[in-house]
Amino acid sequence: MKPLFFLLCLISILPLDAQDRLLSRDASIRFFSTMPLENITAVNNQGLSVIDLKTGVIEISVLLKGFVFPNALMQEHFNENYVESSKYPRAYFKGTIQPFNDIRLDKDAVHKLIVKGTMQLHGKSKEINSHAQLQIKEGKIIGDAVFDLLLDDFSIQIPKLVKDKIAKNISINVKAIYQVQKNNL
Amino acid sequence: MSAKIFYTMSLMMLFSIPILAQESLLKDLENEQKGNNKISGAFKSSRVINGHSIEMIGAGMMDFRILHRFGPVSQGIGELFGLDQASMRLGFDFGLSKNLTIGVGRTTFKKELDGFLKYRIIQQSTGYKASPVSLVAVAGLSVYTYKNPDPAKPIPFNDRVGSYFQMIVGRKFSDHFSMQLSPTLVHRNLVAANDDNDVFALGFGARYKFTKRMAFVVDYSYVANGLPKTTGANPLSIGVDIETGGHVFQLHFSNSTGMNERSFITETTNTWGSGEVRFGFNLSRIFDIKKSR
Repeated sequence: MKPLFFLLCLISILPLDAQDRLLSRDASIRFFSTMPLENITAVNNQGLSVIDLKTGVIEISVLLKGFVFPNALMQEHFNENYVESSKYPRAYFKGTIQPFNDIRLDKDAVHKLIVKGTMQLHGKSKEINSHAQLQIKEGKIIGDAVFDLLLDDFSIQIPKLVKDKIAKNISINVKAIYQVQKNNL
Repeated sequence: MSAKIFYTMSLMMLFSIPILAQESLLKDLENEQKGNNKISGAFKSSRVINGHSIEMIGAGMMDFRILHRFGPVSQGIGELFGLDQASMRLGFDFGLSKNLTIGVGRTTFKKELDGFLKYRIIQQSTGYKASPVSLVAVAGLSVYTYKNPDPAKPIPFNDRVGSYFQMIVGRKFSDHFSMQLSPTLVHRNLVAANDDNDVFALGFGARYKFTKRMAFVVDYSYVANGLPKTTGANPLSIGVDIETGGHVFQLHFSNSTGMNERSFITETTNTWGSGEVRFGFNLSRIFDIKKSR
């Protein structure tokens, strides 16, 4: 009797909602700094993101060194002077999506969502709320979000000399195509 | 241990696994993610002070460099501590790709034109196919263009030419500290009777970054042979790099006046010991000259 009970426990836990976890290994994370003197944009196409549809938990993680800039000097300044990527290699977001209960992967729809959570960057954390959408179309699952970050919130300082060229308010655009995760993490 | 406790513990452990896993769903994936493992920014500029550094300027970039070397500080206030005399070099470096740079320059002293080709063979990196060091090769050529004051004795072209070959091995040890060694061969077509045409030198460069935008730098060359010991000296430059966005200012004191390899390695005669130290600066401005996309 007891071994059977043990087995039952095991079985009840192992599936762990594997069907309801969405994963993206090539999420595109793009940011924009828009100023009258200079517009800067950089992109990283190797973001990781996971959404657990059972709990509504979403995570996004990206290596800062992977951001590609229009030129090498900007990229170096980004890594060396601003985000200090050798000290703080990742930007990481963890939050929840609302509402998540009525998302059905087998039904085409565009779900308007609110994402709430914490952004970690440059050794600092900040609460973030954003509108987002999850589009389900012919089996494809596409997530989209646009939100702003204030460099001040993450102690990223812009020296006076370049303050006309780098916006204090950076716009972030996340686009991820999710796959339903086959096996457990 | 009773069976009851054993099962209770097993159950607790089992339930705790999914809870732990919830903390970060991405942890395992993060660990296996490769990303860009190249190490960059060992030096603020493509030169330590006089000599080439292991840094490249990047594809599609142009580095406009203005170099000044002044007279000996020991001349005192009468010569404004050497600032009344100046020689300069104007130069343009072009980043043809991320690992290949070519550059040209012209120095006031002997109206010397110089050009070089610099190729990064290995870039320091971590992770898969890691390399602990960067390896860079440089080859350069220089030509005096001044006219002999006696028009009856023009200087043949061959006698005006010098060249150098250099391998640079360097490593960024930490965010703050980088160091490099650069064995160099300088060849001069025309030399004084007792000098060798070939001069071997070992360059040493190091920087210590003390703020995000400022670094302390040292550039030294040990001239191993080829120069008469009585007049030749090893160039030693000590300075500060200040980076302000697209500009890098390299302010320094040095016993050399040369602004290309042939010149600072083979023509340095002053020594720090005798107080013949000069102020100088390099100004580097990087422009993005690729077509806008």
